[in-house]
Amino acid sequence: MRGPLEGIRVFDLTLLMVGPWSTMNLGALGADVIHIERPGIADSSLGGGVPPSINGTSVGHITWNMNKRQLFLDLKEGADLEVAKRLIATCDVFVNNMRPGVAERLGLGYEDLCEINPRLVYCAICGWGDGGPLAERTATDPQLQAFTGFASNSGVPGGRAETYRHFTQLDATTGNYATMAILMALIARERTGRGQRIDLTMVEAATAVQATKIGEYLATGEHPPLLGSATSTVAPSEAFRCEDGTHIGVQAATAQQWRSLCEALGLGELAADPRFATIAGRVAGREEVAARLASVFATKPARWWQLRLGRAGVPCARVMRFDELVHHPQVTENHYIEPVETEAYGTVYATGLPWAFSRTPASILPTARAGQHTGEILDELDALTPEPAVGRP
Amino acid sequence: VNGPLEGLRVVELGQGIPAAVAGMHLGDGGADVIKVEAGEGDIARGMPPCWESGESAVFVAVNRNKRSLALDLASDPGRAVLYRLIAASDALVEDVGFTGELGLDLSGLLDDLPGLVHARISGWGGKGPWADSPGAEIAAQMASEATTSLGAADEPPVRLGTDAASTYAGIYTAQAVLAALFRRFQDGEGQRVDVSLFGSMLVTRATLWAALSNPDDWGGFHTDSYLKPPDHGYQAKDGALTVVVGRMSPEQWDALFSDLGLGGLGDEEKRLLRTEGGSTSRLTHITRPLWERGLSQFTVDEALEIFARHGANAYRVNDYPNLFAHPQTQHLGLLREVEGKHGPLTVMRPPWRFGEDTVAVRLPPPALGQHAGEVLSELGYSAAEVEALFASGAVA
Repeated sequence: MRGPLEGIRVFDLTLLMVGPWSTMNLGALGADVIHIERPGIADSSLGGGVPPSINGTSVGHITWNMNKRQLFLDLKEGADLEVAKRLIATCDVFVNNMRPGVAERLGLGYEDLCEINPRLVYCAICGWGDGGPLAERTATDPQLQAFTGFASNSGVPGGRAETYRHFTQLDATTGNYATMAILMALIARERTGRGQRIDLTMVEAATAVQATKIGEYLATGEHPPLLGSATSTVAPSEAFRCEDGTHIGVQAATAQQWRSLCEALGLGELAADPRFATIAGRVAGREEVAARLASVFATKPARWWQLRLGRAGVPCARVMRFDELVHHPQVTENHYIEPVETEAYGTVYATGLPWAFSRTPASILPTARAGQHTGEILDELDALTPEPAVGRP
Repeated sequence: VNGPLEGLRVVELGQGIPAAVAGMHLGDGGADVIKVEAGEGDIARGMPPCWESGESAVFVAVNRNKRSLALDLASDPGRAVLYRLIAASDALVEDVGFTGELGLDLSGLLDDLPGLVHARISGWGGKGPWADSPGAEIAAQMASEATTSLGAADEPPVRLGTDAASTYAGIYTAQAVLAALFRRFQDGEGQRVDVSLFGSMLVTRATLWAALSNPDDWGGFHTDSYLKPPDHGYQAKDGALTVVVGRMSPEQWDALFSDLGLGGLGDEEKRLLRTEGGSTSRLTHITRPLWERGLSQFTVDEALEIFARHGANAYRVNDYPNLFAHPQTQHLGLLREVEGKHGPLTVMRPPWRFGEDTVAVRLPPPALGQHAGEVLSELGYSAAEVEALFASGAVA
């Protein structure tokens, strides 16, 4: 078994990142995901050609289209559109992230497809919504970081908001929420026997993932403050500079963690200070608490503190970089970053598995070339439905 | 209907953000989510800042659509109630940091309850040398080098202010529970599934790992943003904006330059701005000061208007007051007013919209132990038994 969704089939009409990320998840969970590309598309145009590339193809395409089979269809051609509809009739899920109205113009709107296949779960993802002043605009991660306040949550005290320079975080976030909603609709279908339409925008997903920070704003009327590596809701929870000049990130949220941290640092009197007995007390006195801790952390290297705090059961970590991460047993044993052998791009460290199922493990399929499975998918379709395949590229 | 998960019951057993986010989203989907808290309550209830009614902003933000049951989890009678609740449920979301501190070992649950979906959230993952080490937001962010995508290389780390690792762990846990429940509908069997803060953070950064694998060139925003200087957007008179310019003809570019007061730039400078586009270019450290020569003469609103007039996309670097005042945000209607036990609260609705009619926010964030009586009664405890449980302190 390839995973918990084995037996589920997905018609994946998605491009760039947001949509492909959601179906990549479904593929890892064991669904048979059929990703559509336009026949004749240049390798350099896949994934929008977003650089950098590997062997001429965008790493975006390579990352976001793992765990899928690849089918060429030209949906502007009547014959291919008919093939698409025959295929959709055999599918459980349809996902697209085109601008509002585009799927409808192709004849692939929810009403059209529901008629062919009432059990279909239909997920439409877009940037801004089907109304409002920005509805017609395209949407990308850095724009959403700016618009939704995401960038305004990071920065140094007294400084300016900072963009998170991993420009796919909100794309992945939107894809993840789409995956979640699709799974819910598949479960509902067990009860109702029917599929349904799901709508999701990047704005909704990007704000949902900021729930705790938006919650602060809703309670206080003010945007949460910029605090460098610290936060306004828990203390201590920040990075401390150690003797070797590197930093260790440390958090003590529970009473037990706070006691253990103080003991490990030889700061028994701090643990006993009633002003700092609660999270709220430590947040109110954050600067004083941080200064006391910092003076001790400065006396030994980060590596030593990691061992010491590890033994004391206090959450902590140092920064690890790509070269260290890909070989670290904590990463490899849990399959969080997986080296994947692809036919076209060599070994790619690609999206790992966030979930470890005990009975039906998820799995990774290497990214295929555009259109690679066209023949076999059309043959299967012929076997499933009596009509001869037409419009074969 | 309550939503797609109507009829399913989920026990949430954790503290802080990760398990609460998972429970909240399953509750958003219509499941009956019962949040089991230890006697003194979820530590998130003590996180500042607070609503006027005294309730924690963080707690309120991640606990809609669920009920609360407070148990003395150190006592046998309290644990007996927990086991009875789990046995009557479809899924359990366990934060192993929380149960670990309580000395509560749930690793054998599936032996007695083969149909249970048992999700476990940890700091670092179910396997590996750190499997038993406690996790935390800042630790997961640093270990996944998320802090490397912020700040400056030789300066102290900057946090991804959104509680990213905790929230993504909650999201992936909700997915895991749903996928395992789907499988159970097919074959009747449950299973265990592990999710971690560290793993969730690493997986969402996957595009970077692919970009670093073996790129044809060190270029493009997935690699060249790595270790770049901080990106504050383009500064205008009264704030910052981000700019993405698509394909335009040289004449259109000249018209844009002219309106931005950049007509006096040299040919070489103009060429650079044309080829590099906007905020995601690899040469932003060179192009940004050029843009700002013009933008510094305008307010953000004036600048946005100029870009819009030329068909280019620009956005204010919003704070939340700006975001929620924007007509696009208002069009989407993201917020709901609810009546908490201690006063009125505003919460967000779930991000998705289902075609089948569902109530987005059924339940306000619960007060501690607010639903003990009704939950115990649903589990089949008699009125006398319930009274005894309260009297003994097993239920708070």
